[in-house]
Amino acid sequence: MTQATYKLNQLQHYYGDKRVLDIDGLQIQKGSITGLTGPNGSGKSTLLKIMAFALKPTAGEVWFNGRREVPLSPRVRSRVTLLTQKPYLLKRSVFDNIAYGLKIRRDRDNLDNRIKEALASVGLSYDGFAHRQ
Amino acid sequence: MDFIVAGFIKAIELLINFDHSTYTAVSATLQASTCSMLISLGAGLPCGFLLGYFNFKWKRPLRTVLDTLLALPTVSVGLLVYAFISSQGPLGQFGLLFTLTGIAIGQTILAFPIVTAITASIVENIDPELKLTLVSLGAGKRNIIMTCLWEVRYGLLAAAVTAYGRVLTEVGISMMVGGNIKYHTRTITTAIALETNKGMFADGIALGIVLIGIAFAVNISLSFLRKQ
Repeated sequence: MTQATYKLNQLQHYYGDKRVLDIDGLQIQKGSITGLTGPNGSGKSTLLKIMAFALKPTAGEVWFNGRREVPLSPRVRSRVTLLTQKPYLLKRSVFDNIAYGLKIRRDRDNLDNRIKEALASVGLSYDGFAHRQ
Repeated sequence: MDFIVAGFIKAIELLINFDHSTYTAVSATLQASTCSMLISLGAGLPCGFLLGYFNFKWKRPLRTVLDTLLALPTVSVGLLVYAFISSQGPLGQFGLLFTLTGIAIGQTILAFPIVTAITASIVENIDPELKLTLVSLGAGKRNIIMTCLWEVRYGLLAAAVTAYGRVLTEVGISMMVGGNIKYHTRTITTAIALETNKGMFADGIALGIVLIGIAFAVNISLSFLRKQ
């Protein structure tokens, strides 16, 4: 049997006194697609934030690729990405917004061309948009 | 009305003729205010960030105290600093009374709560999506802090300008701690107070124009930086 990408044990999270998450156990296998359903306030976003290592659970463990991990751990920081429902654009140019993730990973090779490609993939020209604020 | 017009003419004369007493007052003002602002910003920005970013037990009471200190009367600060640095005070042996350093200490006490409180408010109001976005993009603690500060840079600039405005225009601290000594600790504001008391309105207006000119120059420079 292959190792689970995610393994959650006895996970609980509270906002103040209110418990929003209580999961005894959950495993997500590599390459699988998992959907989360539930009414408003049932903890879907909280669970995603915990799984993206952007939020520390009140109690419980999150295992990623066989290791117990915590938020901001260098091992998971650049490997797990959460695409949020409401995008936040940094107060800087389009170029700098796109390059931010690469720059903090110190991945600056061929930056101009990669940004040109990223802009082209959404139908925007580099010359027209890259340096807009 | 004549004395006001005469004041403007005198102002131009004093500045063109490089009047020694005017320029020493300008120099004293700039030295004390620059020193106090550097210390206030150096300490106030990190303290404000910590206060606004993190939640801890005494955060609310601390914010209340800090917000109260925003309205600190300058004469009260002057009195407090005077009591500490006068020869009988606990810091008397350092000889800080009637020096520009003494004025700078008082002005730092005045500016620090302004910088800290405004920074804390700005940081508290940072969109929570920003941190989530940064973490999900792979940012570490240092990157998160630096990017958050960069995102609110215009607000921080406003905090600095507000504090500088208060420091530049205060009279109480400079008068009580500095002693208004000509060519030494006389600042523009204490000089204006003195000249007006002597009935020398023209000199007072001249110095007032210089003070407004400095404030204007600072704001123009910051506005230029903002556009960059």
